[in-house]
Amino acid sequence: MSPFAGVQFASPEVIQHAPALMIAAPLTAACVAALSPSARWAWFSSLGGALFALWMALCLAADVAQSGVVSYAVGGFAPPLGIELRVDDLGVFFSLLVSILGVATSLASASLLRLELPERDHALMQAGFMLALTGLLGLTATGDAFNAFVFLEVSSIGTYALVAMGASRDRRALTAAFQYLIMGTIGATFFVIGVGLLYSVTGTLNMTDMAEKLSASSSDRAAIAGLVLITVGLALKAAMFPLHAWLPGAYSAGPSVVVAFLAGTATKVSVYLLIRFLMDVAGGLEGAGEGLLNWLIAPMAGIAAVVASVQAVFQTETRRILAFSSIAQIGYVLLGVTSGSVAGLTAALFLLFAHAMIKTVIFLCLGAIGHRGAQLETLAGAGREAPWTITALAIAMLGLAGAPFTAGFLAKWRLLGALADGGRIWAVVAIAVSSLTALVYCARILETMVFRTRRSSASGVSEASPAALAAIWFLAASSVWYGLDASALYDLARQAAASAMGASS
Amino acid sequence: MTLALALTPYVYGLGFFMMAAGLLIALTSRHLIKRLIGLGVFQTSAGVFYILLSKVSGGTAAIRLEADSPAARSLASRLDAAYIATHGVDGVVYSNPLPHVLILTAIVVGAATLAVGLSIIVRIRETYGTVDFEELAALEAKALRDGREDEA
Amino acid sequence: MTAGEILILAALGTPLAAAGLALVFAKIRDVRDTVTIVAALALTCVCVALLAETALGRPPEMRLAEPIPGLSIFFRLEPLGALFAAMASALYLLNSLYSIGYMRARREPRQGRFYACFGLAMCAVSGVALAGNLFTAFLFYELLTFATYPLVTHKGDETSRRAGRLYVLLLGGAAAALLLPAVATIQAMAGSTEFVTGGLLAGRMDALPAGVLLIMIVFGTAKAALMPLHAWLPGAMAAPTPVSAFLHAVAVVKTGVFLILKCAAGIFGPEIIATSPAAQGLLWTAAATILIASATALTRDDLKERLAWSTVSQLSYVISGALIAVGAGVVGGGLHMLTHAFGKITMFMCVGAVYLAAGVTRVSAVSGLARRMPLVFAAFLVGSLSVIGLPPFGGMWSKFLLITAAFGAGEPVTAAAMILSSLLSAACFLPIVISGFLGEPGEAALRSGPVRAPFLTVLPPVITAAGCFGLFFIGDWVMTYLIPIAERAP
Repeated sequence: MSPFAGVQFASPEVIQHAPALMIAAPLTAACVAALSPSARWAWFSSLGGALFALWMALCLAADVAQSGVVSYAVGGFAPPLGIELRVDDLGVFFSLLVSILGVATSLASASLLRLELPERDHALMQAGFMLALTGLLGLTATGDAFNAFVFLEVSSIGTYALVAMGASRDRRALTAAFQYLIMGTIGATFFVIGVGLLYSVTGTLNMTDMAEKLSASSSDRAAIAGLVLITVGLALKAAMFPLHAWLPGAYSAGPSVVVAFLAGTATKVSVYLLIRFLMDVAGGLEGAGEGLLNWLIAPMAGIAAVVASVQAVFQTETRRILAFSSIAQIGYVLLGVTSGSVAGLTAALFLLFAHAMIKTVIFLCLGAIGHRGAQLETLAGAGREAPWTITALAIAMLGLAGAPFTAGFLAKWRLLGALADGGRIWAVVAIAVSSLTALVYCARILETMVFRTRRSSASGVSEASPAALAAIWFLAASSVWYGLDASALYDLARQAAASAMGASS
Repeated sequence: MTLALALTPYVYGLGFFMMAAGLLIALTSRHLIKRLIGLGVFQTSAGVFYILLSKVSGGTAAIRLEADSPAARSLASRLDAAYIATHGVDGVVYSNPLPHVLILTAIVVGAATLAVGLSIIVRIRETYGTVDFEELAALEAKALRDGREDEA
Repeated sequence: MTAGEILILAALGTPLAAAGLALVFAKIRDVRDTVTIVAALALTCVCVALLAETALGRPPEMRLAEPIPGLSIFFRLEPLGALFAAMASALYLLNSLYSIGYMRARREPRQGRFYACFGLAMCAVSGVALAGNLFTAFLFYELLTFATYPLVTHKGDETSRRAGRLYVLLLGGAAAALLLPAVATIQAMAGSTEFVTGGLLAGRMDALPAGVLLIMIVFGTAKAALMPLHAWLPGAMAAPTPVSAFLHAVAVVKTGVFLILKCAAGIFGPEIIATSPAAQGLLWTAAATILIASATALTRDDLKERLAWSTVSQLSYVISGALIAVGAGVVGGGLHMLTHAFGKITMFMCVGAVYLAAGVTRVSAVSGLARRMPLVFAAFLVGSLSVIGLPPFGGMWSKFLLITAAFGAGEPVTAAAMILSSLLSAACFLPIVISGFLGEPGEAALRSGPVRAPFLTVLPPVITAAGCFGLFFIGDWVMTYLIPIAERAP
C-alpha cells in the first residue's frame, strides 16, 4: 500500500502535466537564475524551481499510486514515435529522492556559497545547479532511450561546470572537473553507441516498445553488445568499481553544496538507469540482462564494497574518505540490485535512499561550518565550535556506519537478510568486511571532530546558518525517523522493486 | 551504389577505428587540449555509427520527392526492378532520417561539452600556468604534500 | 495500555529521561546528581516490579514499533531477562551513589556528559534485558557500544582515546562483521528472530550451518570477551573507576554473556547445541580463555587491570554454561552472571575508594593499607571470596552448579578449567588482602594525614558485599526461578 494512495496534491489539470512541469520548473529556474541581478534573487529562483519540482514529484507519486503508470506524450506526439515521459513506481521513487535532496541543498545553498564562492558567481552556480536538477529529474521521468542520453548530458554538463567552480576553495577542482568531464563524456558516448545498437535491432527508441521487441527477438548479438556498452557507460557515470577514478577528485574539490547534491543524486540516478535498462528493457532478452548483472556487475560491486572501504581508511582528507565511502556504498547497492530477488532490490533501493540522505547531510555539514582545510586533522574539536551542525553530522556518520536506530541500519539489515536468503554468502562476507572498515573511518572522523580538543582556534569553524541548519536537520532527523518507522519509505521501495522485477519476469 | 554497398562494412570499421583512436587520445595524451580533441573524435565515431545505421541501400536523403519528378526517375533508374518491387514507395527509397536527427542532438551536446572543457582548460592554464597533464599531476602531488605539512 | 506495557516503557524511559535531564542540568550539579539518583531509584522499583510480574507467571510483553513490516521492536520478559534487569538497575543505583562520591572527590570535568551517557547505557541494558527478539536485542546491544564509548574516552588523553578506539572497533566491528550478518540470516531463514522456548532454529536448520551461525554470534558478541576478542576489556580500564565498576563488571560485559545465554536457550536450543561440533570447539575456546585470563591476571600489577583480566576469565564461565547442552548449564550461567556481578562490582568500588583515599593503583603498593581503611578492605575480601567461589557467599552456588553441569554433560576439560581457575583466582586476590592487612606498612600506608575515602564511595561496596553474602542464602530461590529458561521445546 503506497503512502501516497488517495492523496491529491493539486488539481487534475496540473496533475495531468506533472511529468513535464517537474522537468520544466528547474529548467525555467535555471534561466531566471542566470539572468537574475543578485545572488539573493538567484537563490530565490533556485529554491522556487526546486520546490515546484518537489510539488510535481509528489503529484506524480500520488498519480502513480492511483493509476500505476503515468504516460505523457511530449508535444502531443503519441508514443512510441513521439518522446514519451513515462513514470512508474521505480521512476517516481527516484523523482522523489532527487527533488527532496534538490530542495534541501537549494535551501542550504545560499549560506554555503557565501562561504566558498565570490558573490558574482552565485547566480551562475544556481543556474548550473538547476540545470543539473533538470537533467536528473528528466532521467527519472523519461521513457525514451535517446532522450535519456540528452538528460544525462544536460545534468552532466551542468555538473562539470559546477565542480570546476570549486576552484576558489580548492584549486584542484579544475583538474578534477576536467577529469570528470573526460570520463563522463566517454561514459555518455558509450551509452549513446549502446542505444544506437539497440535501436538498430529494435527500430524503436521508446523503452517500453524496445523491451517488447527485444523479448520477441530471442537473443541478438547486436542487442547484447549494445547492453554491454550501455552498462559500461552507466558504470562510469555511477562510479562503479573500477571506473570510479573521477569521483574522489570531484567530491573532494567541488563546492560543498554541489558535492552534497551530487553525492546524493548523480550516481544514484545512474544506478536507476542501470536497473531500468538491465531489468526492464533487457528483461525479455534471454539471459542477457541477468548475465551482465550476475557476472559483471555483482563481482565488481563486491570488490568495490571491500576495496573502496579499505581505501577510505587510508585517506587523510575528510572529503576523500567520504568519496571512497560513497564508492563502497554504490557497491552495496549494486550487490542488492544483482541479488535477483524483489527483497534484495527493495533493500538496495532503501539503502540507496538512506545513503543519499546521509551523504547529503555530511557534505552540507562540512560546507556549512565554513572550514577550508582539507585534512581531517584540521577539524579536530570542531564539535565545540559548531555543536548543532556537528551533532547532525555525527548522527549521519552513525547512520553511515550502520548504527542502530538509523535508516542506514535497517537498510543494511534488510540487504544482508536478502543476500543470505538468496544464498549469496560471498556478498554477505563482502559487506561484513566492508562494514568493519567503514566503522574504522567513521570512528576516526567522529573521534576527531567530537572527542578531540583543538590545538589552535584559528581554523575558522563556525555554526551553520539557520537555513542550512534547517536543511541539515530535516535530512538528519528523517534518517533517524526512518530508522524507527520505515514503513512508508519501505513500501515505496518495495513497490519500485516490484515494478522493476515484474517487468523482467 | 555497388561501391557504397561494398564499402559499408569497412566504413563501420572506420567508425570503430575512430572510436579506438579517440578513446586512446582522450585517455593518454599529455596535452589537455589534445585530450579534448580525442574526446571529440570519440564522440564523432558515435555520429558515424548512427549515420551508417540510417543508410538504407539505394536510399536517398530523406527529403520527400514528387513521384515521377526527374530526380525520382533518375534515382529509380539506378535500382533494379526487384528492389523497387519490395521496397519502393512510388519508386523512391529514403534513408532513415531519425538517426540523423538524433546525432544532430548529440553533436550539439558534444559541442557544449567541448565548450565547457575548453573553458576549464583556460582556467587551469590561468591557475597552474600549464596544460601538461604530467606537470599538473606533479604540481598537485607537491601541493598535497605541502598541504599536509602546513595543516599538520 | 496494560500495567506490563507501562512497566516496560518505564524501564526504558526512566534512564533515557535521566540522560536527557543530566544534559539539561549539566552545570547545576546538585540537581543533576539528584535526578540521576531519583531515576535510578525509580528504575530499580520498576525492574523489581517486572521481576515480580514474571515470577507471578504473567510476563509483560509489548510491541513498541514496527520499523519495517515483519520486523518489530518487541519486548517480552522471561526469568533470566527480568533477573538481569533487576540486578543491573539495583547496581546502577548503588553505582550512581558511588559515582557521585567519586566524581565529586576527583573534580572530574564533563560530568553532565558522563551521567547522560550512563543513563543512555542503562537504557540500552534494559532494552537488551527485556528484548523479546534478537533484532531488538541487537539494536540495544549496539546502542550500548556507542553510549559507553564517550565514557571510556572520558579522560580525553591519548591513552584513553586509544582505548576508546580499540573499544569501539572491537565491539562495533565484531557486531557489524559477525553478529549482524548472523542475525539477519536468522531473520531471513526463520522469518523472525523471536526467542522461543526450546530454540527458534530447532528443527529448522541442520547442526552444521547452525554451528556457523553459533560461532558468528558467540564471537560477534565481543562484549562477552571470549578470546581472542577480549583485548578491549583491559584497555577500557582507562576509564574512571565508576565506569569500570558498573560497565565493565556489570552492564556491558554481562549484556554480552546475557545475549549469548539468550541465543543458546531461545534461538539455537539444546538439541542444536548438543549435536553441533561448533559448540564443542567454542567450549574449548572458553576453557582456554578461563585459564589464560586467570593466569594473566596473576601477572598484572595494576589493580584494575588485574580485575579486568579476572572478569575476562569469569565471563567465559557463563559462555561455557550457555554451551553445555544441559539445562543446569544455562541456569548456572544465569546465576553466575548475577553472583559475579555483585562480587566484581564490590571489588572495583573498593579499588576506586583506595585510589581516592591513598592514590594507590598498584598491587605492590597496598601493603599495610588495610589497617587504615579496614571497611573497604573487608568488603574487597568478601567480593574476592565470592568471585573465587567460597562459602558463605553467592559465587559458590553458581560455580558449583556450573562445574557439576560440566561433569554431567561429559565436559571434563571445562570442569577442570573452572576448578583450576578458581585456584588461580585465589592466588590472584587473596595476597592483596593479606598484604593489605598483614604486610609491612608501605609508603602509602605510612603517609601522614588522613587516609579517608568519601562516605559515598565506601557505603556502596559495603552494601554489595552484603549482597554477596545474601545471595548465598537465596541462591536456591534464584535457581528455581531460572529453571523455566532451560526448558526444551514442548
